[in-house]
Amino acid sequence: MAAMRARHKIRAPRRVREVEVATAPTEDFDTLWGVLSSSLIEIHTKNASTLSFEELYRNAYRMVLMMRGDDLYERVKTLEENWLRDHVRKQVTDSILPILVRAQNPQSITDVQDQSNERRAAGERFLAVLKEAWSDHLLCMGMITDVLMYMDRIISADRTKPSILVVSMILFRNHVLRAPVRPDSDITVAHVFESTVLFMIQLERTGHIIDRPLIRNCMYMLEGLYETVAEEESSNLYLTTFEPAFLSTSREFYKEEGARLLEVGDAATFCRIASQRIAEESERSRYTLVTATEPKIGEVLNNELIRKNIEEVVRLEGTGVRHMLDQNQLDGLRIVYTLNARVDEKKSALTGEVSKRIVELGSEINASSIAPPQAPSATEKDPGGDKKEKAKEREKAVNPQTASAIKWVDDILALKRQFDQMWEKCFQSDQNLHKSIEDSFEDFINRNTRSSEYLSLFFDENLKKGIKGKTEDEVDALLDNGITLLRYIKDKDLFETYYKKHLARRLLMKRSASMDAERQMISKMKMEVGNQFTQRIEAMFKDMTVSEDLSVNYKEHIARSADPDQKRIDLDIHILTSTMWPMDAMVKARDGQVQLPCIFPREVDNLRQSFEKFYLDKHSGRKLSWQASMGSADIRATFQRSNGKTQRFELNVSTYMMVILLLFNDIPDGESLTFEEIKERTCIPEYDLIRNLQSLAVAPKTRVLKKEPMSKDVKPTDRFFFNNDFQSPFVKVRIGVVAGGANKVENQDQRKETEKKMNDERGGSIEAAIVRIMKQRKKLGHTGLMNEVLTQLSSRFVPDVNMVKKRIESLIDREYLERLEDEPATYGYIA
Amino acid sequence: MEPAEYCQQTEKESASDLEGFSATMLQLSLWKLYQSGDHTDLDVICGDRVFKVHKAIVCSQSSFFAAACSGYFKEGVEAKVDLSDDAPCILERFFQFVYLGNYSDGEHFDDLPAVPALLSSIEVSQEFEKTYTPEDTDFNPEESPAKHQASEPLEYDSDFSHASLDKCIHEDNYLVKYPIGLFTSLRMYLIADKYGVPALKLLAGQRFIRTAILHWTTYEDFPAVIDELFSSTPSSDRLRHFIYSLIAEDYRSQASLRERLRPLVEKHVGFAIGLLDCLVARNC
Repeated sequence: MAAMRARHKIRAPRRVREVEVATAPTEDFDTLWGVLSSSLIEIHTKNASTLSFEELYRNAYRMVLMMRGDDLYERVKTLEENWLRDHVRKQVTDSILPILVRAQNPQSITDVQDQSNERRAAGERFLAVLKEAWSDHLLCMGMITDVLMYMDRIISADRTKPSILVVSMILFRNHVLRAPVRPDSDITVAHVFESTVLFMIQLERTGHIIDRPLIRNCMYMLEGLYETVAEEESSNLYLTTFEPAFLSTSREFYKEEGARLLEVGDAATFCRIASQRIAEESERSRYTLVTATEPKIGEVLNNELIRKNIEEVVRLEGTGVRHMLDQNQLDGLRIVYTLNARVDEKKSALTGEVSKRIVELGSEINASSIAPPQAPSATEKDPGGDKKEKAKEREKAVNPQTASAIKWVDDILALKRQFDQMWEKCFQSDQNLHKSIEDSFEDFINRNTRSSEYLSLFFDENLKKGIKGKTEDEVDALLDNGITLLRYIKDKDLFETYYKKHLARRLLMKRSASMDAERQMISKMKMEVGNQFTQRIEAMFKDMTVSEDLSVNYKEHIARSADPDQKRIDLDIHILTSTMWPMDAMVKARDGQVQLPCIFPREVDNLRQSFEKFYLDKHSGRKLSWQASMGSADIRATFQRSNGKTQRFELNVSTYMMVILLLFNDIPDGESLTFEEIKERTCIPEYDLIRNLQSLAVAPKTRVLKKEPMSKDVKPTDRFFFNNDFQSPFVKVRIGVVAGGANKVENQDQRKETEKKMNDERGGSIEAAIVRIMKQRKKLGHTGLMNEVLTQLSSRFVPDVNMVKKRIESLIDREYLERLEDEPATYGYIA
Repeated sequence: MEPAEYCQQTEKESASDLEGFSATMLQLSLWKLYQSGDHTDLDVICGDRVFKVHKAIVCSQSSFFAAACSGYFKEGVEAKVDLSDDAPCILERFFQFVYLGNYSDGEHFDDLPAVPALLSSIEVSQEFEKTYTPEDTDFNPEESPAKHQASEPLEYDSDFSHASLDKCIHEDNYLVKYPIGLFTSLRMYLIADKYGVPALKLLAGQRFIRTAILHWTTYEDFPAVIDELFSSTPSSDRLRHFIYSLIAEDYRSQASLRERLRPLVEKHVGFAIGLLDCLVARNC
């Protein structure tokens, strides 16, 4: 078939002469134009469906082939110009009612308010007509461009003229949009259009419903028209005229609205309306205007409504952020955050207020921990009441100061939880806010000079009792909470001191509830503060383990040794490395006087010598010093009743008590010992002796001794008898040492002492750091040295600058360092 | 504009993936569809002939048909286009190309789509520029056929694929018997230009050039060809420039040729000026 078609006959060519004859100018340009122009008008009057496209196309094609393409172009241009000027413009300007023109006059704004409904109706009519004119224009020009397609192709080939469509858009812009509304008026259709649309937007802002699609369509018109022939995107009329006007009226509007809202003075209202406005404007950009405006109007809102007011709003008395924080108004805070974040990357307004409030609340917690709770002591003073009950209570109840220390920690943790929650829920886990919250906590926690001690007490309390009956996870969480606070504490060395002191008591008095928990605690601290910090604490644990082995070994040694008939005393010994343990904290040296060692009873002293021999044989060159104040003993006491019977009790007492009680073995029944005698025979420090005697002779349930005269206080002249009438419902009786046995808050004197020791220790640390640094650097400026010292020590404590200076001076005096003469303010290391 | 281009692009890519095979299959099935007259939705009337075609196929390739069928004009309403002004045999080839990507003219034809029909619109316009640039059209008649042939794309060329048969026609009998293809090519070129089918315009233009180079000196009706070309194209037309450079040398040297072309020079001012410009440019 292909072959067949290939040989298809083709009409014979015409001869040149024939061609000449054929070119009779039956179709002259004007005839063709006549047909075409009337058809174009038909298109404009919407009668296109009766027209043959082919005929119009052919006519235009012919005219171009006649080399009259340029003429055609110009004639079409004129035709369109006339059409727009004579028909479309009239239609549009006729639809503009006087009220719309009057509204152009700024003085008549007050009138406008009253006539807003009328103006709005007129405006909608006008916009509808304009929109109609535009869409007609688009449609007709589309069709006309199709008809003139061939012409456009040829014209566009030499690129000197814009296409007929572009020309028609320019014509529409000039002859319709920018035509005066009245022949002699300065006001153009575009002016009325702009003010009308802005008026409607204003209506919508005040809560009216407007015809959004209508406005949207008008915006399409502006986007389809350009300032230039090249039709660059940036030159479309929406961007060059309407958008700037919209943004500037919006600016005015939000400036006023911001001021008005501030006058109302309610932060929550401000936030609600502001975020509503943000949503509204974004919706407006997307559905009424042009999406590209969204970020720009957003910026206007940011500048006028938010940035100018946010600080004041945040600080508003009674409704601002402080109020929201106190009332836990999470929604309000969330909005404040969102608003603040829009205008300030750092959210400084919000951050500042949050920090301020944290420090305030924290300071309240600090203050309430310092003032001892008055209420419980008041009830104690109440006359009457069951004495027994009261005693029981006192025994159980933690020392009120200790309780307030623990409350301090709990309060802070609760506060922290509250803010953590807000941070997560309202502040989108913002990094800046996190930092400032942390800083604020650190700030007020370190304002409490006792924070280290309180925290250590918190651990002490929990490790002793608090964790009983708790699951592993709960214990873990509890310890973690404490560690959180530890993170804030700057003087970690001070914390270490207290922790060691408290730990020593827990270990030696076997008060720790769980060794696992203790170890867990150590490893947590190690992770948080570092190896160096826990080294000494770990050494304490090591001593404990070593001591256990030692006790066992000693027992075996005794079992093997000669004296089988010796009255056996079981010895459970703790050998403590004096540098690792807080010795001075445990042995209370009074007024710096040297304390003579306690005189043990004979049996006990034999045991002591036996053990010393055993121990020093193993470890020669060591010195053992006995801390009787820390020990305890189980003794069996026999009470001779007046009816002749005897009753035995097993007493668990402190070592001192044992020493005291054994004295009574050596005196006849019914004889007494005076306080002075006891003191002389035992060499127990007076302070400890008083407390121990109080336990034995004053505490109502454990009166193994009788005191004469019977009173609460122990005086040097008091006499003590063995109380054969001692009664107890239990066979085993534990006699605790009155007051001071437990870990509790230090009194002022103790505190001063601890601080003094702390300072000495710090002085050592500072000197060590200075020497370390200088040894390495050989030569260093004053500021450089200060900085390095501060950095090196900051993980343990914040050194006082004056103290560092003093230490440098002292090192210079002792010729570790020297001032370099040729370089001012520079130190050199003396090897 | 963009989506259409994209479609053509993807069509082209998938076609080259199967080395033209699937394109061929599709074109052939479209051709069958056209011949069967099934599912047509547009009648193209040409005198007493009616071409039944598919809008989807015709409008996507011809901007004229796309506009005519837009729905606002009589043609759109009636689904009928009257093209009685055009020659039926040319229209027939026009639709042949629209459906098959190739058309028969007695010189070149096989059942495969021609190269221009497989190009994207951008490539078509690039190719168009290439074909008509002065260097290319500045022919030395003796050597140019070979040179021209060499510049053709070689990977796939339906015009040269059935070499044996076509060649024997080319070289011997056809030279004398069927130089009539020149008119066909010209008229296909014109109709493609008129109705906005760039690929066909490219193909017909290439064929015109090829035949003209071979035969213009011996073809006695060549002046009539020139007459039709200059009557039916705007002054900027590319083929006009081709003609100037083709004949300029001989026009200067041969008095007989000048005599032959005198009526044309008298009739078409554009031709006269163009030829003169070309001669001046060659510094004759």
